[in-house]
Amino acid sequence: MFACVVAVIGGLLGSSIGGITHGLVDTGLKSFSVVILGGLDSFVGAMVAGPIIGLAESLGGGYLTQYVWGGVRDIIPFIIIIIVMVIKPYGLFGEKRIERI
Amino acid sequence: MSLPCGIRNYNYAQDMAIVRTKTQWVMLIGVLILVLSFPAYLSNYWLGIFNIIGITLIAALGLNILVGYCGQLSIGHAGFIAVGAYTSAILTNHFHVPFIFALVAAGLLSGVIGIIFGLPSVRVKGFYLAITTIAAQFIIIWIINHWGITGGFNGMSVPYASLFGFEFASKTSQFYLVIIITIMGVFFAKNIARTKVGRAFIAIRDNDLAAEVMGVNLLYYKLLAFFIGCFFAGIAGSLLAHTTYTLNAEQFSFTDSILYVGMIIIGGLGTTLGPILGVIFVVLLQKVLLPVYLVPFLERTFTNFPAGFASGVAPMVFGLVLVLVLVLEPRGLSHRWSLIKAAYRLWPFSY
Repeated sequence: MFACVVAVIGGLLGSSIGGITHGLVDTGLKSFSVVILGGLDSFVGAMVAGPIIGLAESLGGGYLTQYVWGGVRDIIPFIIIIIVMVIKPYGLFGEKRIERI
Repeated sequence: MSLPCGIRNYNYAQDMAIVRTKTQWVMLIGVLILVLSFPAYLSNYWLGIFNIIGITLIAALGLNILVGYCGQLSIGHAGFIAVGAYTSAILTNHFHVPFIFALVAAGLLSGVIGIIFGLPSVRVKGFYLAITTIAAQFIIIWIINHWGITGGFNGMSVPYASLFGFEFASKTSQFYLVIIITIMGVFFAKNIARTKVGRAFIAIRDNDLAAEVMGVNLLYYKLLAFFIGCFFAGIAGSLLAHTTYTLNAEQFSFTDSILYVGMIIIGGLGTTLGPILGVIFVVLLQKVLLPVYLVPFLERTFTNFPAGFASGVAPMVFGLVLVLVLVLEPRGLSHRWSLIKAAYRLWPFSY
């Protein structure tokens, strides 16, 4: 329930800036990149990673568009996901899980 | 792998046989004759539907190897199908490569792209891997939309498949092309589950650490699973491109990727029969039952509702049916089929 309440707050803020379409679903997918970069079980991680992803998206969209094809803004979070997965799978602040058999 | 009552294996050849008894042979040949004679009595519309079923089935077989046997969740399958479709389309359109080579090249390139996006699977699994494959889907579609050679948002037209000068332009010829490759795919998928590779996949699915301790090379087999799964996707994409004539990135949406996972879960993960039943069920429901029968029925029955009512209800019914199937049949349609078979063999006794 808390998850949904927090998601609703995010949705309200997001739609007050950009307006409502069901393209908001993409925002949900992009928020995956925030939790992945911050670490899945870390609030601090989400707080730190949120601005990083947001800035990377905006600045990257602004500066990279002249070098690569347009619309690069939309996939920067996904590229970040791939890079984080390869380099640091549990994110910046995530707890590294030790597995037993 | 249960045999009918009173049938025992006396030598290795019998133990290895896929089709074991005479009854099974008769039924298999009967079904094959039934399927191959579809063009004799079905209209072009239904042949088109069966083409879609065949192509979707090839993709679902690959996903079944990846998710059902090896346990590596992939929600980017439509992206890999798109790689195959565009590879084949570009090769035949711009470089005039014969169709059969373009088909194989589409499979191979799709498999290689699958390996690249499957690399994180060596370090992460489950939820993390699912998100990585979502990322793969969006990156692939973005590249297709913006790279000049693919025609971008406008899409591109693709020549029909041709083999030794024969062009597969009619629905009937396309049906035979698709169905033969589908049968080969089913046979390959059935066999791969019984080999060393398939057993290694199953060991990795059940517990990858334990599998590694037992001597299964995780890196090799996980990437092999990605390669085989995406190879099937590439073949399916190539066939899709050469039977629909036009190609657009809209055909490979994120929703389709989720639907592919849904199909194999509804059919039954990790079985050969599962994808077949799941694909037939979902495609018939989505393409025929809802738009052709349910929507006109609703429009006739509820005349006082607004105009978009019936077409709006159809997706909801679709979702409801999928949820109901999963609630009532959590192990998939193929499990129900094996229960029916067991009941038939033991009848009139209950055990």
